[in-house]
Amino acid sequence: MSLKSIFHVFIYLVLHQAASGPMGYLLHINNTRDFFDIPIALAVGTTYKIILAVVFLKIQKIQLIYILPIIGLALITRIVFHGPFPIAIIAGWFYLYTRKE
Amino acid sequence: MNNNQSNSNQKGKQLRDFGAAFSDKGFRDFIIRFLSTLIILTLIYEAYLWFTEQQRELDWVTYKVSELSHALATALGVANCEFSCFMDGCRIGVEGRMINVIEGCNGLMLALVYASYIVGSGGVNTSSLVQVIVGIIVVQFFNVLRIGMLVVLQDIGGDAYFYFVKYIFNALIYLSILFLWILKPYVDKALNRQQ
Repeated sequence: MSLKSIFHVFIYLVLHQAASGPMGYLLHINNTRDFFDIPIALAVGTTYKIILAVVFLKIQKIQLIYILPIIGLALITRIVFHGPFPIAIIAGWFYLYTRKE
Repeated sequence: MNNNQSNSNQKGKQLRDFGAAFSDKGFRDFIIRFLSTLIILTLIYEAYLWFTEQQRELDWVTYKVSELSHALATALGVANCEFSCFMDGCRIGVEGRMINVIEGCNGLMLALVYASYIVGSGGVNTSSLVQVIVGIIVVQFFNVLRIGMLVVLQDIGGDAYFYFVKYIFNALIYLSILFLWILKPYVDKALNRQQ
């Protein structure tokens, strides 16, 4: 794997975390642990994270037909299983990357 | 004009071919194995959490992660570092600047997603099992390091520095998972050679 790809992953993760910070703070000031208590922030934050993931996958030259299922997989991982969204994105991307290699 | 039209036609065709990703057998099998593993492991974990809740106890993983993070923070020089656990989590740090470690901070969901990729791409075999166990240990090692460092930073640093490091550190934990995945083919090769 090229250093460039690892650098892209790092930038993607930091930008993703940059949205998690303010969202965590909003949870804190609203005195809740449930994102559904702050629906507008949830919608804006989720849209930002999805756009970021699409841009990352596009930069990595992943075809659109694969991008949509990967985003779906990440959303299922996050919403249903409360797992980390970016790791599911990276899992989908890395599977396709290693297969191409 | 014609170029724009052909570009939008191509994009439309790609969208219509959305199902094509699932006619790619390798990719479809990966998604199915990934999700199946995640479902099975999550069910086991949720059952364990339900059991500990019935016992009115905190789960063992959150307790151990908190205990080790407290030990690390103390070793790194946080004076009067306190540690107390309740049913919903643990509190670590100096009075007035404590960190709350709840079940969601124990790193186990991250480890389960890591394991799902290993099984998703390699199937169920001895090599996957070894990598899942090693991976869970590595993830927990980084998690303890992260929480221990946060306790130290909360004690000595300002809030901005604390949040900056907190999010960079999360990105580094995710990168450590990527490195474990990069090592996967080499581990597979080494274990297959031994068998």
